[in-house]
Amino acid sequence: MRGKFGLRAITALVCLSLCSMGFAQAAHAGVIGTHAVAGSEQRTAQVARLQSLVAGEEVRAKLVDLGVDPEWAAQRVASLTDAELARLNAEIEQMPAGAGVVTIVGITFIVLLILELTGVIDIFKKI
Amino acid sequence: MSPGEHLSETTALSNRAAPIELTATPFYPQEELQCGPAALATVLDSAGSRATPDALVSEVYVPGLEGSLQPELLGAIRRRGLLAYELPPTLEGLAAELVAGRPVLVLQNLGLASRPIWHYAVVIGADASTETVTLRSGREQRLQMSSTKFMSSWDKAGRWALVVLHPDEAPADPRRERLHRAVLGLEAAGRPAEASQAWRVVLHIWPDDSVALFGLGNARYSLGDLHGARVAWERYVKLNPAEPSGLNNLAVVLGDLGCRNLALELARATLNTLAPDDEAYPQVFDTVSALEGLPVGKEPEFCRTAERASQS
Repeated sequence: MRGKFGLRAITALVCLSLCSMGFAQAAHAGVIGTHAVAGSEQRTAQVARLQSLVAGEEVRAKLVDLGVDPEWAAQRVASLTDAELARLNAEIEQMPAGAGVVTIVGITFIVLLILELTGVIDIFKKI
Repeated sequence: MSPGEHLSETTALSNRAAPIELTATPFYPQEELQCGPAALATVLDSAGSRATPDALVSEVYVPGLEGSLQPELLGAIRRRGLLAYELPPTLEGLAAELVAGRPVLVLQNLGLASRPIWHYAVVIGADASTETVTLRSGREQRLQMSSTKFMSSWDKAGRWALVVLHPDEAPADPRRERLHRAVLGLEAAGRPAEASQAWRVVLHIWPDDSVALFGLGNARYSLGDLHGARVAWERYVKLNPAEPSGLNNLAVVLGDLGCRNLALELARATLNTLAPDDEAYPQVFDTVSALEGLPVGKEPEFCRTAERASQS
């Protein structure tokens, strides 16, 4: 499992380094390039998506099961780095989601991933 | 962790009796280790941008790595004024593009997760009844692979896939952030004419898309269409009245149009709302200084017309 995550992380990093390469180029003197607003909007959207996921009943229940305060988890989501957010969102996109509902298996996985990224556990490093 | 996906379960293919195969897709047999240039030539050619693998080698092949990196492929597409749209990582998204008639460039890992063997290929067909996908791959013009085997190889490569789109085309399954990234790539590659077309496609799908309005303004500004840029940024500012980047750009273009007073008023008001450590502060500060340096004169009639329009 670790290899897979390592790979995903690398893929995400390659993508991020690409994006920042593009971002480095300013549009014109005086004018601010589009990356400035795209970056912050993307982050806001990703955080909002994750927070609504964490606020879902099944995810809350799962977090409580694991002894984690859901409010705290929601706050931690907002402090994830862009790379971590990108990785989580990539995982969520892969979930077979019918009308935006993530399956139970998916939820457990996402919860564990959130906890890992927010530093509560480092479960994946032990596998 | 993801459960296996099957072609027959995708909405794109479940209702189709006949298999799909994009037989018109060109075939470029791969030279030694150069799957990147071959796969790239295949999708570029399908999009009507003729390029031979040989010509692409110098652009995308990294001899030290004996391969090509994803950013290189994306860059080569953008430099040709085409959109490189990275697909959502699902078989559904891939199937939808095939149904739309576009071959899909994929990254596969044909080895193990721990000992990867990277390979680029192009998916040109899918048959839900036999659960097979057809690829232009390496020296094989029609490689057939079970969907399970394909999914495994694709999964181990992070499910990376892209299609080449014309700037006036939308992907089969448009995702906002992915489409933004594709169009931003055109802006970064210095292709404002194509970026402008592509932002309009985004606005056609999501009429109030702020990023697209902002980007359309930048593309038009780069092309010297100052009035057009102003219209786009005014719409952006109306939707995001407190966002300093939009106010800055609007002030710049108003200054360029000869509306010094209006521009300066806007830029100064924006600067007043910003803390000195704000990311946008230096830029807005420079804008105010530049506008102050403009000669004071009679302003064109349309300055005030626009002022009224932007307040309505």
